[in-house]
Amino acid sequence: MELLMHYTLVAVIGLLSVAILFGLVRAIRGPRRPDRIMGINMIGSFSTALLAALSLFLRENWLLDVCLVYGLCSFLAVVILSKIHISESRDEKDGKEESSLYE
Amino acid sequence: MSEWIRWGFAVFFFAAGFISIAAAVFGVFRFRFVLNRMQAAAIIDTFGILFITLGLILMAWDMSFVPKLLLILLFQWIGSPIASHMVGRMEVRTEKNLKKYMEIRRSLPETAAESIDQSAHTEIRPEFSAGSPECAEEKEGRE
Repeated sequence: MELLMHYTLVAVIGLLSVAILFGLVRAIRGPRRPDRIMGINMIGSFSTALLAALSLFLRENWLLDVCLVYGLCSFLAVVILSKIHISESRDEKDGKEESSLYE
Repeated sequence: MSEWIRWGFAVFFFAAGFISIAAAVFGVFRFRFVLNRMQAAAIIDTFGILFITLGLILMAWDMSFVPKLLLILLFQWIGSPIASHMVGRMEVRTEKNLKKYMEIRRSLPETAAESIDQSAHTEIRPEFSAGSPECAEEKEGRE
């Protein structure tokens, strides 16, 4: 029974890794910046699930805390990246040379 | 015996989760525009995370794991709609050609006179419907 659980978790981790690769392909190929940020969002969700599965696989309790913080950080990253993109494009529309974020 | 039942339910939940994830990834690669893709990618954040976390809960069945897994599920469900909202707002605010691919066509005319009237006045632009090759060309031109 232990061995069966072991192999099930190996399968889950492998399939999630393949899904992360698909997210990476979307993030690299995506023609515009919103597509890339959406790919990053996908990678963050998959990584959260993968870390949770890994913590069960290793029977390490603290990895779930890492997973929790990782999920919140990836959420924050998406929000801040989209804010930066909005402010940059607004500055382009106004005709400024440099974004006001870097001043 | 109860371990076998738990394992069976866990595998069922994992299968459901990976079917949802496969549908989401297929949608992300099939659709052409960000607002469509976002809708497909939201399946990962709701059903994918839900089913995989439920499977992991059944696998662990231990009070040191289960509350934290539920907390992860809760935080993902709170955070991912906000992230999707931000991505959608970014797309709507920054895309210059948004009106071209969000055009809504008129419904079919009911009478012949109305049909003539509409064909004279309506500018139907089939080149911007999502599947046509011209649309793909324009999409590449924007890169």
